[in-house]
Amino acid sequence: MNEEGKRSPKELGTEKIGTLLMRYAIPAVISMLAASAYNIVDRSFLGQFVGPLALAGLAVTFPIMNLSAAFGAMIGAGGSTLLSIKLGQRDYGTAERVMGNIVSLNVVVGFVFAVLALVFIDEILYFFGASEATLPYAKTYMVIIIYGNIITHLTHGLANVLRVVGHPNKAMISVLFGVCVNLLFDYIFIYICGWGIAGAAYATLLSQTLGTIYLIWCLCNKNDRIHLHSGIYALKQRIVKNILAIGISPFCIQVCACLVVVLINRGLKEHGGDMAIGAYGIVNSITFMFIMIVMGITQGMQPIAGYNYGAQQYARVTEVLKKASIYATIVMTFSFILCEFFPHLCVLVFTNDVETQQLAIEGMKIIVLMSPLVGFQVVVGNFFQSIGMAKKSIFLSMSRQMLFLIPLLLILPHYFGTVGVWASITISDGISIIVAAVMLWMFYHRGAFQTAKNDVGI
Amino acid sequence: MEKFVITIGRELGSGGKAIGEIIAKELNIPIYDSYLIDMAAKESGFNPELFKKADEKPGKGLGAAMIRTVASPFSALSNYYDSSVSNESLFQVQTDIILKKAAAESCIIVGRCGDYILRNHPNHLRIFIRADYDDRVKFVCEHDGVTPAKARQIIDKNDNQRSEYHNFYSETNWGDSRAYDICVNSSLLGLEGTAEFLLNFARKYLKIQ
Repeated sequence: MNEEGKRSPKELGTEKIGTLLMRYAIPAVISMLAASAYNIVDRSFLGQFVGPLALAGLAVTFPIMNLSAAFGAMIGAGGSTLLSIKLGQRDYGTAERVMGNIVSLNVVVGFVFAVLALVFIDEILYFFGASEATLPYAKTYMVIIIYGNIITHLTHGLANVLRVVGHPNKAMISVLFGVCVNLLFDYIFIYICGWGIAGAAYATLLSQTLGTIYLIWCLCNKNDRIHLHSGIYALKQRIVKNILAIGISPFCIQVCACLVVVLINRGLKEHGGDMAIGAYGIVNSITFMFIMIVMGITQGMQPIAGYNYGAQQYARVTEVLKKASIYATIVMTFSFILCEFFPHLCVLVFTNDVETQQLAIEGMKIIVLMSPLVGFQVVVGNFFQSIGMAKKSIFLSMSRQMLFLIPLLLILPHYFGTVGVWASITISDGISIIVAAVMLWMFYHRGAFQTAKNDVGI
Repeated sequence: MEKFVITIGRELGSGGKAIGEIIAKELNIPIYDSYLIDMAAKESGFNPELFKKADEKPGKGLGAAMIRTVASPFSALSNYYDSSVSNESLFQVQTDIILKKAAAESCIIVGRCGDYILRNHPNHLRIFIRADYDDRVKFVCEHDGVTPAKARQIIDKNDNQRSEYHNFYSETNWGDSRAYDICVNSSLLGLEGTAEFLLNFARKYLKIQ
């Protein structure tokens, strides 16, 4: 196995927490920033050079992307867990078959999903909130993306495999490379060639194709113990079953996420029209960026909290939790100030359309009301995950993004229109912050540090 | 004499562990059952070595990778299964313990996929012990002091758990004769008789004096 990307674990138990957190969080934050910067530039290209309807059309396609990603997450989560188990057993033959099966499953699922999505494309897009005006944009974009669905699945799936088999840096390169190439093609296809929203789709597809080729090339390296070769692709019942067994819960969560976006889109379309959906796309991009920075901080926190929890150095666990919460709160407070007091600046990047701008500003000002404390909520959720309390962690994630959000989205828009949609998100944030605080208080109050809790149940 | 290892897979209520204990006593070697292995794993405090790979855990960054197309705040959720202290890590710790025990001395390992984990051990006898359903019910009734109805419930649930566990972590099916060297129904000869029979088999195959 390649040792690339590994660090000495001992420093996790001895080095100063602040230093450690910086060292582990900064690379994660940078990659998260790259991803959301891409997201923002991609959309601003569309907004500036194609128009506000294109932005709305793109936003309508989010749920389909979520659904496709749900299948990706299913195979990705199940496959990488299984793969790392087999690598841990040094059962390299089986590990290679798992890898081959991941490839095959991605191709099969990607193909079936693409066929179904193409057959029912109009119905799906209308259901997800498209209108007569936005459908052409959404459809043009979607059809191209769906033709490349297998590639999309492979890019994400293989990047994950590459990470698990010991090349996290190469996997990272492939992602960053994809982002850069995508932006370059965006510029060429949309700005220079003037292909409109189709240009955005082609840019995405092309960059993913190049990314996939790079990944396959990396994974075929014969010097690695585990590499792609013939004879490993035939689907094996045991492997497929095990992958699905693990993958089913991330799949369900993604499907719920898709449902939430559908509810938001439909609520906005009904009460605010197409431009409101486009506005959501803008607001989403901006708030997403800050949440991603926080996710980067929590990714840095995880190994530190996990290691020290395992080594029973609980004071250090608490310290890293505190520090991560503080950093996250600073980031989110900054986002609050930016969006609340300088909303024009944010929106201007995406569009010159006054109606869309106003709708986006209205939404943004409401959505960010709770944001200074959202960072804390996300950190706590990930904290529980890093010390092995996956259920608490899932519950916290779900509480903010579904549990309270879905009922609110079903009720509030009827009374308050688009404001109701935005407020649902804010209120859901607020409740889930309280839930996180209570759960953390209970965790410390009940001295949960004393008990072990990893029964396999046999 | 060369070190050997005997792994025993067994159905709940088949007396598999009791049979293993008789064999261990006769051969004068230690026996490690699932409980002891779990305790050892827990005492190791989740060996900090485990976290060596914490920055390249499965799933990490899948969320990040997906952001490129899944432009929604929700994709962050896909990170949740990336648990740093998971059942998979626990299995890894158990694996290390079982390998260490088997490398240090001749021993018997009961349960915990020992048959798969020790698949590369050169001197390894894989046993599976089952029993007739009614006998298992009787065994569980006596052992746990429960009613036959409750015992059946326990047995059915346990069968599911053990096969799920084994089939997930290993490459063979739990209780499938092809996964073992010898499968035996302990109802026929009883605990003592089965132990004696297996002992003879083990002595001959593993060339134990």
